[in-house]
Amino acid sequence: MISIHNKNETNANLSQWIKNFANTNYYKANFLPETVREATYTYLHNVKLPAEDAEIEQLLDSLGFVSAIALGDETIAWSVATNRSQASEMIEQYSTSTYSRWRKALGIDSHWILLVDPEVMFTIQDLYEAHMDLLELEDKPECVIVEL
Amino acid sequence: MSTIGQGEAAEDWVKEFAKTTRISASAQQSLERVVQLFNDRLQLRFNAARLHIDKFFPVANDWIDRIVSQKPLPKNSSLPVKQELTQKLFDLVLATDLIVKLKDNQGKERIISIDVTANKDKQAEKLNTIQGKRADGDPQKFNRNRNLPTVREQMGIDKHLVLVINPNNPPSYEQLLAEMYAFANSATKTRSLNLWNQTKEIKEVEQLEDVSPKGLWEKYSQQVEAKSAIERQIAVAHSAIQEGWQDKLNDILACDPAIQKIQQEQGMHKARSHIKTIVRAANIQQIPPEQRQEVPKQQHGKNPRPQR
Repeated sequence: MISIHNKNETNANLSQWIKNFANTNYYKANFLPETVREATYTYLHNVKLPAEDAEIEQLLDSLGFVSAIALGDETIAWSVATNRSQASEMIEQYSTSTYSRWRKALGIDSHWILLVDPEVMFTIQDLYEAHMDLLELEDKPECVIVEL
Repeated sequence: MSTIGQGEAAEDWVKEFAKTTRISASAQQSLERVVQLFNDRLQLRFNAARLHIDKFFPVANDWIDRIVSQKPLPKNSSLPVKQELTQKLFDLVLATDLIVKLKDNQGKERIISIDVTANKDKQAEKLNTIQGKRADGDPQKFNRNRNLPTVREQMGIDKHLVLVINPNNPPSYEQLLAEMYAFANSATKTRSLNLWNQTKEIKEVEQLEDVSPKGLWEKYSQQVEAKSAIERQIAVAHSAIQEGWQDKLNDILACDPAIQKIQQEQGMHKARSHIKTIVRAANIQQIPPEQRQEVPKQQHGKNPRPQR
């Protein structure tokens, strides 16, 4: 059974803060709800999705994604972790081939697990410096912990 | 949770500090020169920055492409937007949230870049960046920050400071200004300054000891057992002199309810005269009995030495 780190497990305010941050500073990656549903039914059999009329944001939340942004040519999905062990668990879960296929079906190039201190949060400068760590990598991992 | 992060709140606090203390300065560089220099010397940092400013400045990448290919900017490109974009590029590429200008002891103007953070864990990493050292995430034989110190100099900036601030418990303006001047006068070009914990300790000390005249009256009057009001007043004045509060003595004594009663019933002049008598008596107590011939009418400064 795949465990999903959704907003029941992660502080709802924290998720909301990150959504606001993403919306203010980055272009949003847009997905159609039916595409997400189809990819999920195909690859993530054990995930229970919200009701049919749920909005795309609720769908992504239910899968443990707080946001998805377009950065240059890349589409990047964000999840959030507040401690290292949680981030490690998440990286293990999201690095599986089923999740990789699910991401490809949606056109998601990278999945960043944002490791944040909720007391401090982060700035665009923090995210920019962390992003540069990935730019020069020869074998860029599809799913990665971004420590902020 | 606050709607803005602590990092942003810390930046805002330091910007307000710089504005209030009138040390705030600007880059004084044209967007064209900044883009050319960043593109030539800090390419990875610059190219990454272009991605991160795209949403905030929708015109930025078109303008940057024009500058790089030495084409003129559109005629409607306004100066405030150009300045704001320059500032944003400084923020990301040059790790500069704000610039301040102050004079050192020789009267020479020093331009200082400040990179503010509320994240103590980032202090060392940020210092590495401004010193032009390799970032931990850089692949071997690559250093994204290599030319940062040179570019900073070419931008006319003398020094660079990483400043760690807790926006919920910031230092006093006096304290930070003193640190800024100390850095301006030092020989070092880069420094990291953590005022996160230090401030808290100072504030704790301030909270422990109330050094207002009323606070001092209460402190000293509670320490004495006196038979009369006058005896208590002399004892308090004596303790205050011993601990170096000679210059506050009149104010401390004026907090005594008995003296306030004199003032109320017999007037200000009588109360002042009474205080003067008490101060004189307390000063006599400071002098060894064999030397009590002449008592100065008024002494200045803390911890005055007995007349010899």
